[in-house]
Amino acid sequence: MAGLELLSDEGYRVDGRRAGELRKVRARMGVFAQADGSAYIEQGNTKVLAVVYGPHEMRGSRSKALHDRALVNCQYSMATFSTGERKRRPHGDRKSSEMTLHLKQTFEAAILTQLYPRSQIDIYVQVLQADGGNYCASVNAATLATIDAGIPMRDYVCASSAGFIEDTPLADLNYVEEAAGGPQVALALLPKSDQIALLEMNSRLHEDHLDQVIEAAIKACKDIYTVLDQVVREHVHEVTTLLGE
Amino acid sequence: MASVVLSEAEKVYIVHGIQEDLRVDGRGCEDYRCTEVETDVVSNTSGSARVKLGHTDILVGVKAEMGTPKLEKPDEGYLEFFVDCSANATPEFEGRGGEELGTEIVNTLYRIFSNGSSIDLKSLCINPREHCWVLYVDVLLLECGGNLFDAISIAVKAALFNTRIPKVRVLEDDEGSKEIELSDDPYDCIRLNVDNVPCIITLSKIGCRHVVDATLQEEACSLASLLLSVTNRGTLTCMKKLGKGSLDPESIFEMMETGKKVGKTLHIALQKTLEKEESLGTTRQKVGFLG
Amino acid sequence: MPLDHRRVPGPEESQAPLLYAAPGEEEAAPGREAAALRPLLARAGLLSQAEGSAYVELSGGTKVLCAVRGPREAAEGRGRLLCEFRRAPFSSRGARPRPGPAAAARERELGLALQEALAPAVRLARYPRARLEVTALLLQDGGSALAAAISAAALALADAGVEMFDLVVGCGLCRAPGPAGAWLLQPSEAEERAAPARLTVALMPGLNQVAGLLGSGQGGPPESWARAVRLGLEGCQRLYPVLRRSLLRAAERRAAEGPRSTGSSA
Repeated sequence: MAGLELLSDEGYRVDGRRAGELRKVRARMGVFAQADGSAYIEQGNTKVLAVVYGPHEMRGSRSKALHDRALVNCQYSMATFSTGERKRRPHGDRKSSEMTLHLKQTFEAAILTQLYPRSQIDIYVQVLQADGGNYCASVNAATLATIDAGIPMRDYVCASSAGFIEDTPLADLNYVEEAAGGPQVALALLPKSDQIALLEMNSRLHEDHLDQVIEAAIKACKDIYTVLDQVVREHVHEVTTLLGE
Repeated sequence: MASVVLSEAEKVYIVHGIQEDLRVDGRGCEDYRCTEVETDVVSNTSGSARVKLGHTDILVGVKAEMGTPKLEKPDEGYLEFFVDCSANATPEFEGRGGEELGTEIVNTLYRIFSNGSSIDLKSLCINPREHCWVLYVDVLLLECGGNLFDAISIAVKAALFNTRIPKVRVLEDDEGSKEIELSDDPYDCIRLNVDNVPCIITLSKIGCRHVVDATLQEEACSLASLLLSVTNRGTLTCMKKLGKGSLDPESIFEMMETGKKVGKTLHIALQKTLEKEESLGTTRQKVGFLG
Repeated sequence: MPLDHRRVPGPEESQAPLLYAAPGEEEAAPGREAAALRPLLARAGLLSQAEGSAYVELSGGTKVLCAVRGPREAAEGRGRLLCEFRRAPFSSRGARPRPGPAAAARERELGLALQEALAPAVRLARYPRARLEVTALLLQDGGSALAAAISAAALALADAGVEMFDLVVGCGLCRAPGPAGAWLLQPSEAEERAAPARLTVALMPGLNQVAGLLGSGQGGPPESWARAVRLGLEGCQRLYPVLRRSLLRAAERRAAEGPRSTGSSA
């Protein structure tokens, strides 16, 4: 780690945050009128849009329909201008296919799919600007969009990343910290029941530190939950006032 | 595009209304919907703009990268267009579903920029035959509520207006090898002159009249439309018939006149909005998708 | 850097060939009348494998062969017209164009223009659950290629006995260089290359309806474009009898041959 100090002696990170501090989260639900549900989230400079269509009847081949629950169909794509260097294609490459699969697994765990047999729920996520924690922001945005669409879920799904640098667990990594190549955990949590929907770890980390890092990620997820919950409540309040209640 | 299914009665209602110069949303035949333009929404691009025209929502990012000039034009840079019809707009665009529409739009964009006068490409040249700026204009379609082409052209123009390309100098050392030096000051940059960038005006023929800025419902009632690209001086740089119907020769001439008139007003309004936003500078509250 | 043994290493310094080409070598095209049409040869029904076919040649080099297949069964509900425009690898001047996404995109744009010009004339409602495939192959590009392809495709559709409202006739135009350049009908390839603006119009002559319109460049104010469209439509009207005659001749030939009873209507 030549040159760049990711954690100063005083305990500040490159963007001036403390170890367990999140980036500023701003979110909005109901961005688009045509989709069944949509949401936009900004976590620092990471900006993500999510749109939900459904539940509706199967599109395309009916053979994919599941007789006892709904099929969750996801697509993760990144705008060609979202990264520092221009991407050649928005989706279909290996990285985004992997993300698509992760999203699908996360939301299959959270949505009450058994209520909608033989139907389909589409979740489309679009990263507009990437600055670390793309998966996590995508999950948070998709949660809000799913709630906006009125699809019943077990719980919110909140995701956050965590890293481990200089013996300190760091929550919500930004691009610079991610690019440094240290150990990195992405965790999606159902905060009320404390269940983990997805856990992924890269790089090498001593077993003794794993608990600490996961603890940091869980803490961050719960912080995000507070923010998301507030956004949802504000949105519902707004909508009901518009309805004149 | 989100498909709309209209019954015969609904179609008749729309067509009859247009006959009386009154559209379903209260506009006249030559009125645009309320248009929101915001520039500089994605901070890691050289220039970006978001345009919301009714329910049509477009985000354009321009990235300047260094490349080599094309052989046939050694002293000019060039523009590359890409349109991503994202699945956000409609589930039909999932996977490769949006590619067909994307290529159609890209081809049209190349066509309206193909004349030499839209943008001064010579200013994008760094040193002839070796280095030039390539502007990647990436269009992201977030929602379609009709009149895609117009919205995209407005967004492209706004994004190009917002584009700032860093100034570079070519240094030549004793052995004749060239080195490129980036200016230290991040505010030291080239701006593009977008005065001549045309905007697309699509005129949809409905009944025996034509309307500008058709909504999805109106597009469903129209069999043929005429796409015109109009510069701020009122000259046409591209015309194209769209749709599966045909047009009467006389109506084409009328549509061209309307296109010219509407185009000029649109350019003036857009320029005013962009300049107003520019004058606010850093004090402007960025709204983005949160507003 | 590892050496690539599969390639012949070129000289370290290379120059663009343009450096050696003296500017302005091309001779100016001889002056001609703006409204002059190039002689056109049209022949319908010359391929035995396709349901309908036509060949259109403009004097001066443009050669287009067009075939129609169908109506074939398709899974989806409505009838569909699929058009493809292809350039033969040897069609254009100079080196063979490199096949790639850029070339494919250009061909697709012309295919789409072809489809939009033909769609108003074909009675697709009469072909539910069916598709019609139109393929135009440009053998030689001598200017006004899209216009020739539109005429050829309409002839081929009529030759296939597809129900149509009218024939479609295409006509190309370009603007002569210079600030007050006049519009020329059916330009040659050299004129097209030098032109600041190009336009292709397609007309259904019987109904007097414009089926297709595709143009771009510095054509000036709408009045100038309007003049071009008028000139083009006039050109289409003048080409129409030639195309009609070729269809009639194809029908006669077929009647003389005997058993196959499908007649074509002009």
